[in-house]
Formats: sequence, structure tokens, C-alpha cells
Amino acid sequence: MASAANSLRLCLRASRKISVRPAASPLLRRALTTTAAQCARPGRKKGWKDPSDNFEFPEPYEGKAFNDLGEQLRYSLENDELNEADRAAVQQALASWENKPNEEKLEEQQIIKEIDKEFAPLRAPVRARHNSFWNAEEQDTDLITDEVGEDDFEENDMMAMGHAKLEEHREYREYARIAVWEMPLLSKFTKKFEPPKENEVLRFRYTTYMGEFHPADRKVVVEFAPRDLSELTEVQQSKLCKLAGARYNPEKQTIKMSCEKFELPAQNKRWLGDTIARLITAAKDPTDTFEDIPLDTRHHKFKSIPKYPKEWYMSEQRKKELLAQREESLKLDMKKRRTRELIDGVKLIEQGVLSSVKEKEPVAVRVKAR
Amino acid sequence: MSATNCLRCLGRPAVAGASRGVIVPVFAPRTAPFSTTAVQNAMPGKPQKSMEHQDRSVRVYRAGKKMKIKKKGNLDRGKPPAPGERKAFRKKIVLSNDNALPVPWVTEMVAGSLSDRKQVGTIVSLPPVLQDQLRATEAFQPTQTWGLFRKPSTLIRQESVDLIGKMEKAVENKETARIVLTGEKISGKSTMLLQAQSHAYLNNWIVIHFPDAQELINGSTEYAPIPNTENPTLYMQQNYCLKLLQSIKKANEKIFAKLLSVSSHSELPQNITVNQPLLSLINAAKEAEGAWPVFQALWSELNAQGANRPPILLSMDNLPHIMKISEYRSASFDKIHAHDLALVKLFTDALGGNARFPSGGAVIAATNRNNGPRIPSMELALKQRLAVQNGDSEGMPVKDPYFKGYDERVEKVLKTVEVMEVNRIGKKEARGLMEYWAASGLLRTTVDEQAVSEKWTLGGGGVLGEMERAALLTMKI
Amino acid sequence: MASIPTTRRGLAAAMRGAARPRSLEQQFQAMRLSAKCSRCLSTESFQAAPEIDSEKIQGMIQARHARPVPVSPSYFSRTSRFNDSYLALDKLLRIYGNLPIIPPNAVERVSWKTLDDFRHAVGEQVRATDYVKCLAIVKRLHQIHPKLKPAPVIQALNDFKRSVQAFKNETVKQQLDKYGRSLGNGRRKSSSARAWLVEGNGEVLVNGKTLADYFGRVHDRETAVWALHATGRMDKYNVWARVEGGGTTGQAEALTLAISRALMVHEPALKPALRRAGCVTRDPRRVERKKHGRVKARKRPAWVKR
Repeated sequence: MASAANSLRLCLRASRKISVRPAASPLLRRALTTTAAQCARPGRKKGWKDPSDNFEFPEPYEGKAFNDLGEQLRYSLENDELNEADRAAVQQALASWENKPNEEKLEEQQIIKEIDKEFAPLRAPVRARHNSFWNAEEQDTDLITDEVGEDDFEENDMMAMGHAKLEEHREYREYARIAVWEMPLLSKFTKKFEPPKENEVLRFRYTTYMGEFHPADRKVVVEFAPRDLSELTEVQQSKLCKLAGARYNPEKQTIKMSCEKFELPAQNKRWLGDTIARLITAAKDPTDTFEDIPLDTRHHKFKSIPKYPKEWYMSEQRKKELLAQREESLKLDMKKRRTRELIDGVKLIEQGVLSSVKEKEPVAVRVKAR
Repeated sequence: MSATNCLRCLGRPAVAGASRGVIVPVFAPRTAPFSTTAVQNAMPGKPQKSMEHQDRSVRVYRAGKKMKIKKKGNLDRGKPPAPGERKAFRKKIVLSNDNALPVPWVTEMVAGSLSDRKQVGTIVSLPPVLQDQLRATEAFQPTQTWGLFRKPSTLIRQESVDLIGKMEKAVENKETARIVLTGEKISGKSTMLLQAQSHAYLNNWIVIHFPDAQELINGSTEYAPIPNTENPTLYMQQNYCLKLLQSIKKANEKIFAKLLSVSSHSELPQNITVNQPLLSLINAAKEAEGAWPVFQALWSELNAQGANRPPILLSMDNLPHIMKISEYRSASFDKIHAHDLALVKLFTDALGGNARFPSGGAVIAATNRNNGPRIPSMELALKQRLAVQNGDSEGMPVKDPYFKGYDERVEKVLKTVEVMEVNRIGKKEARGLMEYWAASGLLRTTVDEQAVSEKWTLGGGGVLGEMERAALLTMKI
Repeated sequence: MASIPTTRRGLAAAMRGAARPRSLEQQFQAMRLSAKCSRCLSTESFQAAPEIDSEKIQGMIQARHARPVPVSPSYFSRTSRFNDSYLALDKLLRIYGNLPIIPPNAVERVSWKTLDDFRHAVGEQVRATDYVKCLAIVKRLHQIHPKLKPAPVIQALNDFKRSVQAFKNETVKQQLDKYGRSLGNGRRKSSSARAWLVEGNGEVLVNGKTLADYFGRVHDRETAVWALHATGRMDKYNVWARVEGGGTTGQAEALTLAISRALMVHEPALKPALRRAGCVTRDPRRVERKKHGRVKARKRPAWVKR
């Protein structure tokens, strides 16, 4: 669309006498502009005229339709805001208009009408379709550039690739400069780590995406151990754990909860703080201590990590035991060997095979006759 | 093929090609222009075997001639196995192997050998009579390795001596020992049951053994509600009962011939009066229909007080199966709890301590790990019992308050049982076992401490079945 | 240019750089922060780089000639820096060539820069034959008796040494910890295993389970303890192992390696026996990648007529 409109505009422009009409003239551009028709801005002078121009179209007035230029000029004369010079110019234009023969007037009128008709769809305000994907139909007016002579190379510069390379190099250097000059200044902001004090029970976790927008950056997570709340008795602590439900981790014995309901992390944190306060007051409530309800741990999967057996730890005692065992087994083997009780499977099989052969009944064998 | 042709037909008339000067091969099959059927490959003018082709220079392709493979008539694939034959083969128990070498030092099991603490780590063989008795009660299992050795023999373990000791002690005090055997996969729980039975047979006990609890509950035998039982309705399994009676009779024939009845049983198909041998009572059950009353009568006779009955061993393998809802349905199509089956109830009552044998005895059940359902309440109860036995009140496992799968009836049964763990064997026992293997010609190594230790390690620290797998059941060169 | 030249040599280098454009990477490398400046990201208080005093720099560059004259006589050659160093070495050889040398096998082993390394270092396209000649001189100079080796020679040789000297690496000798355990780790396929070996009586625990519990296959169990089996140490040690990743076979074979490495800490003399048993080298084979146009790594799609 844009390119078509552009080319049309270029064609029209080419057909005109460019040298005579400066492109900057607002009145002239108004007739052929591709931008949407706008209301007259209050700050602008109406009927402003370029002195070098002897032909003009007055601006369209808000809500008024004129049959011809004369009518429009007359209407503008009625306006009190016009200063003297303008008034004179308008009157002059009006006079020249009225002096024109009728055919010429009609012809001009016709031309303007045709052009208006032609450009009506282009002038229609382009609204982004809000239900479209990424406003895909929206035209990017920045893309309409003056393409004439863009690809001409004047032989007085580097090629585009060279520029790109240079740009890349500039980027490197920029970061190198930052690394040398600016990064060290960050050390001013260092803070020493201080372990939390005894009354600082809650541990909050925030998320930042380094300035980028992210739906999760508002999320705040708090973790605390109920047994750190020294103001609660043990019964109250266990009630707190039961109230926390699936947020309680029986292995670590902590409660962990998060909030991303609100738009700002601070609001979420506030909510968490309030909730914990409510939990604690509920846990302190003596009307029902929940002692008859067992702790529910179905949400948690207990992991069992196998432990190295302690009996295997090498010690003098263990060494002696092992030595004794080995000696015993050696002695047993030696004894069996001496008394020929040590059993050798291979030998026994061989013997068994031999004996089974022997056991076979005698077979008649032919003997050579002497 | 047909598609291209058809499209072409539709695209232009068959004659169009010729009219535009396109060469159309003469032999192109002409089809009806709008036909969607495939062009037949048959030549329009089939070359006939006639005089015009007698000239040999013109090659004639024979069309439509195919090689024909003569189909053989009905192949003799042999007789298909008769019904039940495959199962019989699967369940076949081989107890001896003539190729294995006889082991000279293995003695026969006698009445007191299993309770002899000195014999721990030695191998004893089962005498032939005992083999028959054990066969009758299906104490041998096809997965065990009896078929590898010359004679069926068994290792006397520390645990077996302990178990037998408990049985003997119970009989001495005229009590009932109620024991559940637990332990790892293939650690020898069923074999331990077999040893308990062997001890009972050799000491003239009466043995009633349920070889597989699964058969009772998986809906494979017929069942019927027992009349006059309400809340809960009990169910009898007459077919299973008959089978059980027969196996009991076969195994305990000698004792039953001597025992006499103490009361008359007129309700049976065959009227049994006082002072008749119990064998005739059992023989009264000829068909499945009367089996359950006969069994009931037998059970009451055995439990008759003051009749000088021998001790009784009631044993069951694969215990977890009877601790769940069975596959049977009641008249209102509700699932029946296994404990509502009369036979199971009999066993669980005995295990729970409700039955008292007149001259003592034992109720022993073995759990199974490999093919058993997970019964959370049973596992928990056994763990709790174990903790109590070890005097470990702190480490006592507790019920998960939010778990819904517990079964109160199961807990009630197992509340007071004694749990015995069948553990891994020690190196001493392992050595005795491996020497026996080697002497039978099944292990091609010198059995010294190192070899024993190696197999002991490979068997997961002395799990007997795993040691067997590592030493006997894997191919070695 | 990249760095502000503060010495004559630097100026010359800069001039050279201007005369013959170096690649941007090289320039940026030259611009990179020195090790001293890398501290700037730490949180200690840091002083920014001092400002450049242009007057001072001008004072340092004393023009001896009205026109700028190249510092090096080989400035107009193709490989000027290399030529300079070559000439310097040649000169050193002429001066110190008759110092006593030690036999080649007694010389301290040094890994010299390869041709690529050297080219990268000087930024010049040095010819291979020239570099070989140069290196011969370097080696000859290196042979000078270390006690008599003059400082300029040592300095000149430093330019030819690689930054990382592999020969100086010493293998870390592993030791038993206070509980008498040795740790070995092994990998195979995508499994990795750590095994703690302690003297004991043949118990093995893998991830807290016994060998039979952890490996269903007897073959895998045998593989896992193969190192102990092959050396006849099955009943002498206990093994505590953690294994992760991969399948059962991979885990078992990773354990083999881990246990054998742990065993070598206890008894280093067993290494040859373990090598014969195939427990020392890590099996580098991994699953072969799938290729496009094929069904698997090697399998090709079936040929289809049209």
C-alpha cells in the first residue's frame, strides 16, 4: 500500500513543475498529501501563502464544504483573525479567481475533485487493528523514504560493510571504556554481608530481570522457620505448620509462600507480611489448638539418602576384628587342605565321570584269535 | 496405475492424441474413457498358439503361466497338548538328577535333626516317605532347584533351628506358635516352611498346608455362600476343600488311621459314628458337594479337647494374597473380603489366636515378595511386631493418618503374631552349601574361603536364592 | 590505535599496526584488560585508571630523526617480529655457543610453542621451515648447562615456551581418608560411579542396596566387582558406591572402573594386574549419533521404487 501510494505521489510530483513549486509549500502539499485529513491546528495561520506562489488552494475549513475556490476565499475573508497582508493576498487571489474565464475555473475545480477522490482512501485515518497479531496491519510510515539515489555510490566513502565493521569496533571500545572507567565505580555501592539477627525471621526473595519487563518480576517469595518465632509456644508452632498446609516443608521445617497478585513487588511483600501476621494471630488463638489433627505431609516427598555404614569405619577395634576373621578363615582352609577335606569341584567331576565309566557293565570285546 | 490412466482419460479424449499428431502406440490398451477400473494387462489380441507363430524367430512370451507350488496336504504337526498338560508340565516337580554326583556325607533327616543346633550349616536329605508327604501337600515348588541334585536335600540354617525350636516349645506348653515368615526375595521362606513341615511329619504332627494362598482368592475355584451365616455371610469353596482334604489324607494317612472320632457326624453323606478312624471321616468326602461339611467335621474332631490329639501344623504360603479383597462377588455383586471365605477365615482365626489346638501346634505363614500384592496394613503390622519383638519402642512405625488403604481386619489378625525374618545366610552356612554343590558336581571351583566369599557377595551378601542364581543357574565355562 | 603507545617499542608496534591492518580480534585482544586490571570487578575499593598525561608521553618519545624511522631494521620484511627474534637468538648463539652443554636426555623437558601457537603469538605468517630452524637454535641454547645459562638466554627462550607446561604437572597422589576409605570414580557410557573402598569382609552396597538388590542380572554384579575378583580381593574389602545415570550395564561397568581406581589407592602394585583384567582404561565408547537421512546411526531407510 505504502509503496503504491508513494509511487503515485512520485508520479504526480514528476508531472508537475518542480522547479517552480517548492515542495515545502503547505498549501500545495495539502492537496496531494497522503496523510489523513486533519483539523486545522489553532496555532497555525490560516491562508498562509508563499509569496513565490501565485496559485494556491486554501486549507479546508473544519466542517465546511465549498463549491469552488472563490467561495472558500470569500469565507476566509470573513474571518477576523486575518492580518492585513494576508487579507490583501486573499483579496488578490479572489480577484484573480474571479477574472478567470469560467471554463478554466471549472477545469481546476474538476482536477481538484478528481485528485481528492483518488486520494480519499489514502487520506482515511489508518487505525491499528487492536485485535490483530502484534498490530501487523499497521503501516510503518518511517519506511517511506526518499529512495531516489539511495543506491548510488559516489566513490567518496567506505562501503556499507566497512561502516558496519567500524560500528562494531566502536561498540567494543565502548564496552572496554565502561569496563575500565565505570565498572570500578560500582565498588562504591558494595555492602558488607550481615547475617540476619534473631528477630529477623523472614527471608524474602525478589526477582529482577535487569530492567527488562517480565511478568514474574513482581513475584515475592518469603521463607521462614516456625521454630524461629520465639513468641509462639510449641503447640502454637505446630498449629502454624498445620495452617500453612502444603507450604510447610517437613524435611526442612520451613514455611515458604509467595505472592504475585499485585502489580508491584512492594504490594506483594506487604500482602505476604499481612498474611503471616494473620497466620500468627490465628496460631495464637487458643480456642482451637488443632492438637487432635495430625500434620499432613502428603504434599511432600521425603528423600532418603543412603548413609555410609558406621560399622565400616576403620578403627583399631575394627582392624583387630578383620584380622581375626581372616586368620580364622585361613586356618579353616589350611585345616581342610591338610585333612584333604577341601573340595575341588573340577576334580570331583572328573572322578565322577571315571567312576561312572567303571560302573558300566563289561562289554564283550572281540579278541584276535591266536 | 489406474489413477494416472483415468486422469488421462478425463483430460482428453482417446482419439485426441492421434488427431494432434502425437504418436500413440498401437498396442496401447484402449479403455473406456470414463472407466475407473485398471487397465488390464492382458494383450488385446492374445497371441495364440497357432500356425502363424510357428516361425521360431519370432519370440512368443507365454502369458498367464505361473509357477505352481504344490501345497502339501495336512502337515503332521503332532498332537496338540491335552487340556491341562501344559500346566502340568509347568508345575512338574523333579526331585532328583541322576547325572549329579551323590554326596557321601549327606545324612537323612531324622526327627531331631532340624532342632539340633550343632547341625547348622550342614545338608540333610529328605527321606523318601517324607518326600511323598511333602509332594502330597505341594510343599515343593517348581522354581526351586531340587532337580539339580541327586537327592532332595536341604540346608539347616540358623533360622530353621530357631523356628523348629519355637514349634517344639509351643508343643511342650500345649500352646500354638503363630509365626509369620518374612524376608527378602528368594531368601528361603518357602523352604523354611518346607522344613517346618518336614519336622512336623517326622514328629507325627498333623499337617494342613495351603500351598498357595492365591488359589483361594483369585476366583479360580467354585464358591457358594454357607447357609445360616449372616453378617458377614461366609463362603465355602467345595472344590478346593476336596482337593485339600485329599492332600491332607495322603500326607497324614498313617496318623489318621490311628485317630478315632469322638463324636458322631450324622449330617455327612456317610454317617460317621463315635470311635471310627478319622480316615473314614475324610473318605466320606467323595465329591465336591460334601467336602466342606467333612472338612468342618474333621477340623472339629482335630480340635476336640481331651482326645489326645497330636499337635497340628497349619501352614500357608504366599500370605499377602489372603489379606485383601478377593475376586469373588457376593449375591449383590459386592466384592467379598478374603476373610469372609470360610477356609481363609479358618486360617486367619488360627493365625490371629482364636483357635486353640488341644495339644498345641503351630500356625506358620510365609509372605512372598516377588508375586505378591502390596498390603500396606500387613507390612505395617509386621514391622510393628518386629519392632516390639526387638524392644525398639522408639523406632516403632506408625500409621500414616492420611492414608486410606489400611484394612482393620488384617491388622486384627496380625496384632499378636510373631514375626520371623528369614535373613541372609552367614559364610559358614554358605560354605557348607557350596561344598555340597561342588560335591554334587555342579560347581567347578575349589571351595575355599575366597570362593565362598565371592559367591556370598554376588548373592547380595548371602541371599540364598541369589547365591544359587550366581553359582548354579548362570552359564559358566 | 588500540592501546596508547607509551614506549618506543609500543609506538613502533602501533605504527606497524597502522601500516599493515591486523584483524579486529587481534586488535581487540591487544585492547583487553591486563591481569592487573581484572580486579576491577571485585568489590574491594578500587582506583580507576590514572588519566593519561599527554605531555609526559610526548617527553618519552624523543624524536631522534626528523622523520619517523622504523625501530627494527626488518620492519619492511614480511615477518618482522619473527625475524627480530630469530636474529636475536642467532646473536645469542654466537655469543654463548661455546658454553658447556649437557646431554639431551638430561635436559629439563619443556614444551615449546607449536608453529600455530607462535604464529598466533606474533601475529605473523611465519614460514614452517624458518620456524624449525629457529626452534633448532632454541633447543641448542636450552641445552646450555643450567647453572651457566645466562639471563638473556633464559629470557629469550621464555618467548618460545608454551604458557602451560605439561611436563611440570605432578599427579596428585590419592590417599586414604581418616576412616580408611579410598575414593575412586569411574564412568562408562552416560553412567558415573563413585566407589569408596575400605578394608572389610566382602560386603558391597550400591546406592545403599546390596549388589543383588541393585543389579538384577548376575552378569552385571560380576562386572561391578570384577576388579576385586580379578585380583582375588573379594573378601578383603567392603565397597560403598554411589552410581547415577545411564542403564544397568553402564552403571556396572562404571563401577568396575571406580572400584579398580579405588583399589589402586590401597594397593598401587596391583595396577599391572588390573590392567590385564581390563579395569584401568576408561572405555570411551558412547552411543553413536544419529545422522540425517538415516533411520539410526547407520541404518539406512529401505529402498523404495519411486
